[in-house]
Amino acid sequence: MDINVKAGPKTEIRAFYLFFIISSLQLGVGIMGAPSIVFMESKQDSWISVLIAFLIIVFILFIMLYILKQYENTDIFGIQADVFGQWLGKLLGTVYIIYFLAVLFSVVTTYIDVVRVFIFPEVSPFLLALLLMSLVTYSVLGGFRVIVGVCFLFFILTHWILFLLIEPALEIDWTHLQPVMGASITELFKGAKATVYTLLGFEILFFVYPFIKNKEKVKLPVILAVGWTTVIILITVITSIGFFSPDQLMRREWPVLNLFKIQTFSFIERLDFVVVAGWMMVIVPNIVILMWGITYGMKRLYQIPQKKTLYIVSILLVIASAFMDNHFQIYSFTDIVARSGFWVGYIYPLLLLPLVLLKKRWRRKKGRGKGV
Amino acid sequence: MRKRRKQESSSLFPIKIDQFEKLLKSKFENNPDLSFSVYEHENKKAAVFYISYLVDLEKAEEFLLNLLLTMQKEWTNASIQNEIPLISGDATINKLEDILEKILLGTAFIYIEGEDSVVSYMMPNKEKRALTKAETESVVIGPQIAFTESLVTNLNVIRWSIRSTDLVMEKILLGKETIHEVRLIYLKSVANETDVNTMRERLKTLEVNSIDDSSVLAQYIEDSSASIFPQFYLTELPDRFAYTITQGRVGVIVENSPTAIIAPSTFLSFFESTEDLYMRWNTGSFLRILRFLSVFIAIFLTPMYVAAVTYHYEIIPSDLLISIGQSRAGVPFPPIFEALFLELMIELLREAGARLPTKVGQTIGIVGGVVVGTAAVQAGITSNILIIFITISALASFTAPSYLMGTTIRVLRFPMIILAGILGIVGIIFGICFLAIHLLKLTSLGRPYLTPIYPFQMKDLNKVLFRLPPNFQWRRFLSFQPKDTSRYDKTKAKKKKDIDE
Amino acid sequence: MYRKILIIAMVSLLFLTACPESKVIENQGIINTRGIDINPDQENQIETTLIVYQFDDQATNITKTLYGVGHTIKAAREKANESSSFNLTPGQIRLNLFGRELAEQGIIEYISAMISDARISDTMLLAVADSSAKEILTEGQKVTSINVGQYLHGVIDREHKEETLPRVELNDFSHIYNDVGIDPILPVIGSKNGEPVKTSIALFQDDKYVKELPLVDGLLVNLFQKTIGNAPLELKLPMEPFREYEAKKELHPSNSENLYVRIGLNGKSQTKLTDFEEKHFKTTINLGIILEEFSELISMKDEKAADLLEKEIAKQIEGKYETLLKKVQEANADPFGFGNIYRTHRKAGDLTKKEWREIFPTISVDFNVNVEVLNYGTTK
Repeated sequence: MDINVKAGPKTEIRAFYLFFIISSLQLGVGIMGAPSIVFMESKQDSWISVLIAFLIIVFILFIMLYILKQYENTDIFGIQADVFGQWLGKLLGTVYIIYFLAVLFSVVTTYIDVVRVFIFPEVSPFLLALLLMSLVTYSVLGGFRVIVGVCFLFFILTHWILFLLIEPALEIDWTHLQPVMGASITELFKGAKATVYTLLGFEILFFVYPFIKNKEKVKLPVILAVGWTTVIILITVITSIGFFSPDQLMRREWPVLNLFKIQTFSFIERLDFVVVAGWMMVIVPNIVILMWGITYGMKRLYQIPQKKTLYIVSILLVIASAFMDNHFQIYSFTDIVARSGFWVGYIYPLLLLPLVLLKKRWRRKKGRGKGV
Repeated sequence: MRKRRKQESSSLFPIKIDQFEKLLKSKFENNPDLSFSVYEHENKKAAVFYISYLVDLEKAEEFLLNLLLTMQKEWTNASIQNEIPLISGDATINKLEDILEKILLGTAFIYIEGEDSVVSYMMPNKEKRALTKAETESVVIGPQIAFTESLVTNLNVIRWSIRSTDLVMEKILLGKETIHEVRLIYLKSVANETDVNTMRERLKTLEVNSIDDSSVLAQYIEDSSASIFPQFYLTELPDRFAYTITQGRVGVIVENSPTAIIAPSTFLSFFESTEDLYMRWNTGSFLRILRFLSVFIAIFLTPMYVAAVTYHYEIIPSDLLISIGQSRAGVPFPPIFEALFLELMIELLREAGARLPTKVGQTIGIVGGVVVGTAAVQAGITSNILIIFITISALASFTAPSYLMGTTIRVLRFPMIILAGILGIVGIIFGICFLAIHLLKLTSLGRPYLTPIYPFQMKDLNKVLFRLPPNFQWRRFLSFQPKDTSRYDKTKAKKKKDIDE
Repeated sequence: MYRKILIIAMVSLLFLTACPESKVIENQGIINTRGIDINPDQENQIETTLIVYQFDDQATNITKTLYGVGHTIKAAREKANESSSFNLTPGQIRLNLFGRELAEQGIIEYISAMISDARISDTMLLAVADSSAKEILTEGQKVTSINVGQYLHGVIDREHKEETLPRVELNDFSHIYNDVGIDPILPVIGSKNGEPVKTSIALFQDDKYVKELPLVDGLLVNLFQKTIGNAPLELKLPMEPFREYEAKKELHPSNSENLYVRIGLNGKSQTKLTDFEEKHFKTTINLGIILEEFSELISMKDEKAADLLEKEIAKQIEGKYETLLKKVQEANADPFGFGNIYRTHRKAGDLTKKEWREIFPTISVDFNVNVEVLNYGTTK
């Protein structure tokens, strides 16, 4: 396996699009329940936890970019092959792919669950999974540029939902956010840890990095993407805390969706129906990138044609989703995925950094030795 | 067949006139139109032949026969060319297939017995209609003329619109069995070379027996023929054509076709009308935004009704709920069939109106729309609220300046209605997602169909989504990477004056 | 190509078989208003009164009243459905009326059930019936020519728009109930010659109806909680100080004891905990008022007159607040939300309902009303 990746001019993208890739992956189903998860840990100071989480992610992102800069033009698979050798590298790469697969599956099943709770209690999950996976297959077949396009276009097409938060935001009870700093430091960090689950998704940087044309400009869009996601989570967290009372908030599974229930217009009411259905447009880019990551990884590691992986994984996921119709099953699965995401997304880059640096030093020494 | 002819294509001449006549007549079996007359002069026999209705007969008589028969000198190819000095005179043709090809283009030939080639004079008589107003893309202000079926006339009109030596009109012959002339038109100093090359490549490598019209040619050379969206803009307006050519795109016109192909075209360009340019920038922007809005209305209004009435009565405000409910009460069909039925009726009206003569067509529209609509509501087959929705969406679908795109939008409604009837609002969103992904995947002449939305090009937005005052319009459409990116000097355009200056 | 078409055809066939159950509008009995009472015949059961829209081609009246009993709301609805050919659906309920007896026992289990049903609208209005909800709705439906639910919804909604009542939507009730340190209020609907009218305000302690308050207290609570604009209020002022400003004293002097003044209120309040230990609050209410009508001929000819009027109005409003506070303290239910403010001064922000119930009767509040007349109309 080559450590460096050669991206053709057809697959190269401007760094500007990284913003959309990363933020669409971060904003998925997680945000629907984020406020109650964070609130459970750090109560009225949840917004501080969100900000702490943001700082942690920025720190991790710098580490990731630093790791990537050590190489010419590579992705995580190349780095792992270089650091751990072919065999162990492949194993770790497979772990990454399985993680992506699990995230993909949890996103799909959670969305189906939401649709079943809010709109169609009797619809078969199989049908919804088929719909979603057909969209995913169709767009992944278009290649990397189309995938980036999906992220970009759907990002723009879905952000009108934010305007629907204005009405609940006007009813915020600010006393719910007081007293400020009532939570202890441990509680704040626990809240931050709860937030980082929903902020997962930036690890895609390890995959798409070789496809970026102007690498010197990578930093800004990446940080802006995480910043934007944080802003949106902050908005939803603050609105939810202000709008719901603490007991209500903790008992709600998807408080963000409940916020839209009070919005009415003279020609349409109950915007929550529209939003839940429209959320499909939020998660499609999400699962499209994940699916691309899986097919791309399989090709890098095992030289399996991307189409083959795509078809097989899609069919398997549709079948598997048909059996995941128990709410608690889905919930615990998502929980496990989020927990493992913490290790893959946050801890792993920290562990990788010293190894990469050691390897580099060793190589330089070797090179110098040869020179002499 | 063609191959065999090629093998015997050595020079035919010299040949006896009788023999030649027989040979020619055999090629035009059962065709009484070949005029072949033989004359004698100073012991030399000459044959003059042409197809009578393809040749300008007056000209042929006056300048050809008259001069030939009153000639004093001996008849030879050289002397004839000397004595009958028409520009199109040519004495090099000596192959039968060349003669056959030329004779079909309206050439008159003179053959002097014993010479080893024929003298040809091109004097075609091509019937054509006069330039008329545009029908499918009618505009209120601005130039009104439309292309005609005559290639020469079209070239003439284009040349007069773009008076520049930069304008290239490459000639390409297409068709295996019947040949059509196709012109590839672009501005040398502006058009992107890749685009020109791609287009030329596609035209030259195209293997078809014949081309019926430019719209058929467009379908042959499109990027994705499975798609429902047209990928090349077909226009009958010379001003629109000229405008896009000067912006650096590539145009193709086909003999015998009154529509020109413009490539590459973006999705959004199908909603631009030249009128937006002739209007003031703010009103032009308004009209353009109105057209985008109408696309959404055309595609999503009826499906939204179907979804709400079939599955989501919760989202209807209570006042509206009562009126919708009451009007639905007597309807015996489920909403999806009701909507499909009415949509179908509108399509029938449109189709009937288009096929019938204009005057009858209008009557049919009124009869169908008013009488049948009212009767349908009174009979309780449909709800009157749906009639309003259907009419609005039909109106909206006709606002697209491109007839092809308008048809696409109308057809798209049907799958959307079905999706809404099956899966409610989730189905509609699925449809939107699918359409968006499909549009992202499409290309036009290898360039993304959705540009400048994706790939995003901020500076081009004022060309497609809205318009800005002229001093902001100094750039060309950058997404297509023209060679020359600016239209005029921006510093002069952006100069600002102080008060009282 | 053909294979593709075949696949698409098969998938669409699958769609058709798996598509969700349709709820076509004219097959639904769309519940507009629901009344919930205790079933008088059987213990632990409730009786629901449903005002339903049924879109029937042959019927002239689309509104129908149905009754059902059951242990849960849903069971009662299904029972009611037995007497209708339509499928009763709760997605469009705009108003829920609780019977008085039920409200006194507590309504939270019904509120929770409604909240957790994704189909039910959160913007549904809640109200308490003076007697039983069944009576009011049935009688009302007979008397009013339109759908009684729509009528009542209009009545309560107008109060919101005039800002004389805090919002009483389902989500508000649930929110306030779940908050520590504030108790909900709901409007009470009574019957006048069979026609349903708003009679008073019901004060809840948690989810139990504990005290009836006069209608005007709705405005006071609303003013305490948020900024209001042009809310109508009629005040009774003593006539004595205004004698000298009477316009036509010479011609026909007024012999009335009281001066009634109708004003439009604009303004907001601010409440601070001034003494944490003593639980002493200070509420400042800044009002700008628009004078609309006097019951006597009074002329506001100079600033002094205006000052006097401002002072009298302020005194009246302060007095109203003080009486209201006394009443709610007696009932030990806090519609203002002093507890919320108190809680934010606790270190970790923790306060239990029980604690607040002990503290609330002991708090003292200084109401401080500042009035400024903004507008006198066109005459002095």
